[in-house]
Amino acid sequence: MVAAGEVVYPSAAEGVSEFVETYVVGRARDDSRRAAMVDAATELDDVARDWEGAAFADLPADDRDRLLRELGVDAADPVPDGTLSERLRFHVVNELLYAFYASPTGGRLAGIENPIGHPGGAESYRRATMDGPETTDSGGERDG
Amino acid sequence: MDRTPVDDADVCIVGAGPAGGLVAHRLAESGATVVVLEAGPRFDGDRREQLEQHIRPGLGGPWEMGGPRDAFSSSGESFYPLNAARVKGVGGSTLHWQGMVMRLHERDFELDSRHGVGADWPIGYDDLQPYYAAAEREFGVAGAADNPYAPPRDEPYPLPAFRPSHSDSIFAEACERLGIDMHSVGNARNSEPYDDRSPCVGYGTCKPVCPSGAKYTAESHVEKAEAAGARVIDRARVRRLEHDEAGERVVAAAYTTPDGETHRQEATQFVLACGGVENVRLLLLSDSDRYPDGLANSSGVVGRYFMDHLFAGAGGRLDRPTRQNHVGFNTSECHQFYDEADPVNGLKLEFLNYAGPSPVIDALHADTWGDDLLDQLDESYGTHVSMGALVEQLPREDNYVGLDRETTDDLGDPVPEIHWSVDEQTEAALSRANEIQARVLDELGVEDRWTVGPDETGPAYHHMGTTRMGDDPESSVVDAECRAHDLDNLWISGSSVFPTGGAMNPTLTIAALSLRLAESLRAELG
Repeated sequence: MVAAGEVVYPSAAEGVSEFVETYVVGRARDDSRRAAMVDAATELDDVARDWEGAAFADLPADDRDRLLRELGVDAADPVPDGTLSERLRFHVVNELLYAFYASPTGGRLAGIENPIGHPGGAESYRRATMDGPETTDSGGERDG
Repeated sequence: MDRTPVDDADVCIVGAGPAGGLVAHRLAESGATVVVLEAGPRFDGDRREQLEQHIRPGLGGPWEMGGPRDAFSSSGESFYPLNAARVKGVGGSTLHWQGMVMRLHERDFELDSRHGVGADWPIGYDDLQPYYAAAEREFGVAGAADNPYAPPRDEPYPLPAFRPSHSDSIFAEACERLGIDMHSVGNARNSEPYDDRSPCVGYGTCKPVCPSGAKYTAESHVEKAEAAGARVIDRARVRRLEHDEAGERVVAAAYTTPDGETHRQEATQFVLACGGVENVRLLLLSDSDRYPDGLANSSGVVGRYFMDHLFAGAGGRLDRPTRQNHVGFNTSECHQFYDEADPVNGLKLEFLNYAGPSPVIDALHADTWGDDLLDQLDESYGTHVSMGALVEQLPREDNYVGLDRETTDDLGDPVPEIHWSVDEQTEAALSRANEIQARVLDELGVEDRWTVGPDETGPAYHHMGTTRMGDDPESSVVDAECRAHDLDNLWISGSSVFPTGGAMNPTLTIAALSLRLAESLRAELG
């Protein structure tokens, strides 16, 4: 998953290995979800060995990216029990993307420190910038 | 789980949404033996499961709607997406609602008298005012008395309003120049801890799921009802109400449980609280020799006058950050144009805090990743603004909920048929909303504009009007106490009793009427 994360996450992402281990693999709330992720990653590894002669994690990043695209994972619908590319989209690529962009880690790179799916408090919506102060109220008093 | 009937029940309530939950709680608290039959399941467990189901493609809907149980037909000019518009389960449609709560205006209760359109309610705003206040306390409404267009109120909201968003401050510049007033909006969502529920923590997915519990759901009152002794039977699909020989009283509700068994729940009083579509369906499925057109339908209007609110919207992009999609609710509205006479349909304007795409949802649907994806997200997120509006649809007899006897659900019962269209008068009101929205967006200099108007509009998923309330048994289904004209012990709770729907989100009015009904029913029980 870390090797896939290095491809799926933008180059600006830092600490990919720790993030994946903590928030992607560690996030799975039940064993079946974690097992499905491991199974999909194992299948990807098998394909890499067949097609490229090396484990997925041992391939250069560009080759990992190309392999996923050649498998059609970029265009595939995410389906938990679908075809190989659909399963890879669901259990590998979208597991990685969900954990990343539903957190401030990925959200901040896209311009939002409190993305949907993240319980980042009920104050950020009032700020004009990610790290600025809350906007001054305009209009009437709202003292209830 | 034991899903057999309760012995010696005083009250049988069909439906465990807000209408049923509030009545169940009030009556159970007063010592009545209450049983609630709910067609859907209890959604226990970690609500982050539903959060993920909402955000991630490939997991199905969070509330399991749309299977054979929920089959329906749509036969009108406008397709009605019924299963997007309701939830079956303990909590009902408050499981997926957004939680916007405001009172109807005084004029909404007397549209016929004032303007010669629609119908008058048999009660006025004054009658409902104390129940509105009680409903706000039950829900824990966050709001402020800063709305000069709101009907009179005697007490503050239970919780302080959510403060305006950064996006609101952008709109405020333009609105001030145009003389358009912005004010707070009532939210059934905790701005502070209330009723043992968390304050909002900003998951941003209010509709369809609030994982923190800050948004009110009727699960709250169902739990309180159970704590007060009520029995709630989930996955109990009521298929028929049976009446006595004289046709004066309902004697039992026949329901089927997941094991295929059918049971009869007897009770002294019956309350229908399963929404503006299923209330009708159950009455029509309960036809008999005495009532060949369906129960409580001697007027012939059960199912007629189906109404929804229509959405009008407009938006686009600015050349600066607008900070959208942090929260899933709105913090400002404008009710300035609500009471206008031309067009007479009520309309309210909303300033959205969730305009444009959310990066995580875009990412999960994208056909790329890595730096390419981030470039796309940079382009798609950050500068959107939009306004929404709800527009009133006046009651028309030819908009109706009926039975499609050619199509059956998985139990073999005819499915509901929704026959719905949007009339020209409503379209004119939608255009009026678009006109005001365009003035604001012009003033702001919004580009890349889009509009949702009469041609693109859709329903707001508020099912109203199908068992209308009135004094005349010839032209209405229930009386001012929400009791059926035809049967002494049958009560109907919910928006199906609304003679007109205004343009305000209906759930606070559903709650107020439910509390009022509970009081009348409690008196009846003695």
